[in-house]
Amino acid sequence: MIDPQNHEAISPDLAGYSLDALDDDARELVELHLAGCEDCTSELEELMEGAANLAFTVPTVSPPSGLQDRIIAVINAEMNSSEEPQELIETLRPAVPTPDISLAEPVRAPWYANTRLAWGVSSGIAAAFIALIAVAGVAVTRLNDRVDNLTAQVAAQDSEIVAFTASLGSMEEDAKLASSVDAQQVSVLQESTDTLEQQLNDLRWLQYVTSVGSWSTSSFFSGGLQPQAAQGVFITHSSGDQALLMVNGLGPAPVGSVYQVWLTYEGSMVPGNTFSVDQDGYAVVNLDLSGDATEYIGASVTVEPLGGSASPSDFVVLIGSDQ
Amino acid sequence: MDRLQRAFGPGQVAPRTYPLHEVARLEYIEFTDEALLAQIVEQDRLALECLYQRYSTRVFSLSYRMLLDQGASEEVTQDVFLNVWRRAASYKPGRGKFTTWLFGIAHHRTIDELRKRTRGKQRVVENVDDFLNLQSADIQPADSAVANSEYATVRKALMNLPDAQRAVIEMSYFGGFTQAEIAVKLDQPLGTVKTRMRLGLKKLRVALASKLRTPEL
Repeated sequence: MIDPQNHEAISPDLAGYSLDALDDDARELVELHLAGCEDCTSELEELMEGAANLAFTVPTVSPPSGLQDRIIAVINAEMNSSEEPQELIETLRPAVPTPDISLAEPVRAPWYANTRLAWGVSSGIAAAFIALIAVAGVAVTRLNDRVDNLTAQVAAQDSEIVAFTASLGSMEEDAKLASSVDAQQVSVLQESTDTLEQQLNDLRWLQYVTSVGSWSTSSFFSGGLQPQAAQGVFITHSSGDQALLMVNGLGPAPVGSVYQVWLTYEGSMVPGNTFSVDQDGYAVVNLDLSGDATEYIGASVTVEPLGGSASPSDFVVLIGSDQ
Repeated sequence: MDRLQRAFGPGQVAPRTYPLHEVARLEYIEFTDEALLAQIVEQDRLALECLYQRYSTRVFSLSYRMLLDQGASEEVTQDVFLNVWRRAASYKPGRGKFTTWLFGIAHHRTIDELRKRTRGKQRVVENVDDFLNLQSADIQPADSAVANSEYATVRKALMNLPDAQRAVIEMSYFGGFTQAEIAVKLDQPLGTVKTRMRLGLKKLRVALASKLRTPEL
């Protein structure tokens, strides 16, 4: 029986070990020896490197196209079976990577640090609202068409909803007066009325911003990393504390992720709402602006994990500024 | 739900294949193998997919070359990348290149499969060239200029080895024979086989030290 510490006896087997060419006993001896011999460990590393080169001497053949998906499916199944439900969202995050830029060479500055945000803010903006920027292009035409359609829809629906609301209000009033109506019925009616009022507010807001002259386009977006010609329009409400972002041409966000709007304010990025797009890549997002709308000098859209992020990822799909 | 989106209708559609995923993948092209492995330690599946794109053809080809069985080679390739996923944290950058670690796993797994199949059977090797240039009609060669260039480079270095050294290396690495089996088949002392293996591998490493680069996506 060879002593595992016998360097002279065991070191000749290192090459065989690196090629998986030892029988079980000899392999075990080498492993015992390696645990205490730094010289052999270093030599083995060299021999392993030489052996790994042999993998490149084989004519290459492609693996089946579905193999990658099967591997990922196994991993997904393992992860799903080993974690608590509330951790699943965290697990999904890597599917839409937020790269750790510390791993990349060279280290990159945040994307927005290099973005030219020359969104000129004229005194006219502060005095009233930004004038509608006349923008050419198919995307904007499509967006404006949608605005026109919305306006028509609002006009058609508004009167109906007002009439229905009046009817509900009347019913609610009647119910309150009726001694036989219990509190639960009143509550249900009240809830219905609140919902309709909310819808009315939405529609009035839409009606307002879709009236040309009372809404403003303060940004025209151009596709960033998005291969398609994604574009968008940023609309500021006359109140100055609300805005709309309308986007077009965006593909659906990757599984486990959402789009998120970012407003640029004095060099910092203020997170806005998250959103998804429809089959045409179209979406409208409303934004509550804190402070004066004219202080925002740009806006962007990034891909973020579900629920949104506190700081933007590197996956920019739209960047808006007054070029 | 967003007020305005509610007013417009939900507008949600089922996810499909999207360009953004490809954009995300592009981000990782610049990552080194080691950086991707660090991402995998953090359970980043996209990083594993990137490593798969880089090396799956090599792993599959090696396994197929040794087993001549597409189904078994698929299984080996799957096991290798699942091992990368599960054992990424065990890789020590200071102890060698990622490719050395990866192909070590791939070769070891394939040898296990090969020996399992041949256990108790007499294996005959008429010529070490039996291990070279094997092809199968139902397997399509990978179309990669990088892969072909690497193949030519390493193949040349291997062929430059003395025949005696090349023979023992190929019989063990591709044929799965142990040193003792090779000594019997070549009718050479076991010590001679060991020495030839060691010298051949060291020459191969020196010859290729600066010639192989990490393949790109």
